[in-house]
Amino acid sequence: MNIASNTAQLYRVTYEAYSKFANDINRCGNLMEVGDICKRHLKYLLNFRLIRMTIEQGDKHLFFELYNNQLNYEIGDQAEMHEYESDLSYKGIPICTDMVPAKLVRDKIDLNRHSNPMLWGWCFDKYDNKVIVSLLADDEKIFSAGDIEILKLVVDCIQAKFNEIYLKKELAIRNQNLSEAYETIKAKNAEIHDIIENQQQIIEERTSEIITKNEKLLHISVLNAHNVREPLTRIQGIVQLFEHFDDDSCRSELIPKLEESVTEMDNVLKEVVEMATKELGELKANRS
Amino acid sequence: MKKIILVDDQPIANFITKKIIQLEGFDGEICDFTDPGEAFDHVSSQENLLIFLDLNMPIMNGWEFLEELKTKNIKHQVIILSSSTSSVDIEKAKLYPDVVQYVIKPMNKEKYSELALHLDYLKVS
Repeated sequence: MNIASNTAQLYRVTYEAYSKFANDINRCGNLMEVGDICKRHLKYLLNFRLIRMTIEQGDKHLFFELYNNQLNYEIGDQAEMHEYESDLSYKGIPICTDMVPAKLVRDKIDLNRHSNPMLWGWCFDKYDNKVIVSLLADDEKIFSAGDIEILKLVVDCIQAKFNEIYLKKELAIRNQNLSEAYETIKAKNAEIHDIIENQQQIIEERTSEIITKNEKLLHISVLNAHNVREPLTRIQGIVQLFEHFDDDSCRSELIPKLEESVTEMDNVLKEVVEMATKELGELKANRS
Repeated sequence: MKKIILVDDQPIANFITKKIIQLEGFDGEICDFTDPGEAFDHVSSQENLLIFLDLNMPIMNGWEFLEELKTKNIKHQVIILSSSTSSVDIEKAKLYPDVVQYVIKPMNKEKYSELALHLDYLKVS
C-alpha cells in the first residue's frame, strides 16, 4: 500500500516530523539557531519555494524568510513590510493569488523557471501579536488548504520562540539598565556622602575657628577689664583719702597722683578701644 | 615690733594702702616695695610677717611670689590685694595655705576693719 493513501501512517509521519521540529525549536537560544532548525526541518513539514513570516513584537517586526535552503532574518519596523502584507494585516482576509509581487521574489526566486507560482497569505493573530505568513508554491512544490493546519502549528511554534527570545533580550536590556541605574545611584550616593562629609568637616572647622575666636575675645575682654580696673582702684583709693588730708597736702600730694592715675586710665582705655577695633577688623577680614 | 610688707609695682597703690593702714591705727613698721624680687629678698630672711601682695606685676607676679615662698618653705601670712574681681583668681588664691584673705582694691577703712577683726596681727595692742 502506498504511504500517500495510508492516512494513519501519513499522520504518524507528520506527527513525528512536527514533534522533532517543535522539540528542536524549543531548545533554541537565539534566532540563528531557530533559522538552522527551520532550514533543516521545514521542508519535511511543508512544500514551498519561499516562506516568509512577519512577526509583530511590540513596535518591532521580525522578518523571517526561507527559500532555496537559504535564510534571511532581520528586525525592523512596520515600514519594511510589503504592501500586500500591510493589506493582510489590516483586513485579515487570507489571499491565494498568482499575482506574485516582484519585490517579494527579487534576487531570490526566478518565477519564469517555475510553473504556476501561487502566493498564499494569512494573518494569524495570536499572543496579542499578529503574524503575517506568505508562502510561495508552484506545481512542483504543491501547497493545499489541507496543509494550513500544520503551517499554523509551525508558525505558532516559531512565534512563541521568537516571543521568548525577544522578552529575554528585553529583560536582559532592562536588567542592564537597572544595574546601570543602580551603579549611577551608588556613585551619586557616594558623591553626596562625600559632599556631606566635606560640609561636616567645614562646619567643624568653622565652629572650632569661632570657638577659638570667642575664647580669644573673652580673654581680651577679661584682660582689658582688669587693666582698666587697676588705675580706677587707685583713683578710688586717692579720692577716699581726701577727707584725711588738708587742702595744701591734698593739692601737693593727692592731686598729682590722681592726675597720673587718670592719665594712665585714659591710656588703657584708648588701648582697649584700639585693640577691639583691630580684632573686629580681623574678624571681618576672615569672614569675607 | 610688728611689720607689714606691701608689694605692688604701682607706687601710688602702695601709698594708698599705707595711708589707710596708718589712718586705722596700725602702729608698726610698714615697708613698701615696687619690685617683687627685692621684696622677696627682704622677707626670705624673716618669719611671720604680714604681706599685702598684688597679683598683676611685671617680671615676678603675685602667683610666682607665692610659689617661691612655698618652694623655699618661708612662712608668712599673705593678704592678696588685687584689682582683679575674677573668680578664677579668687579660687586660685584659696589653694595657697599662706593666703589668709583676698581683698579687692582699693583698700579702704571698711576692708581694713574687717581684716583687723580676724587677724590678731593687726589688732592695736
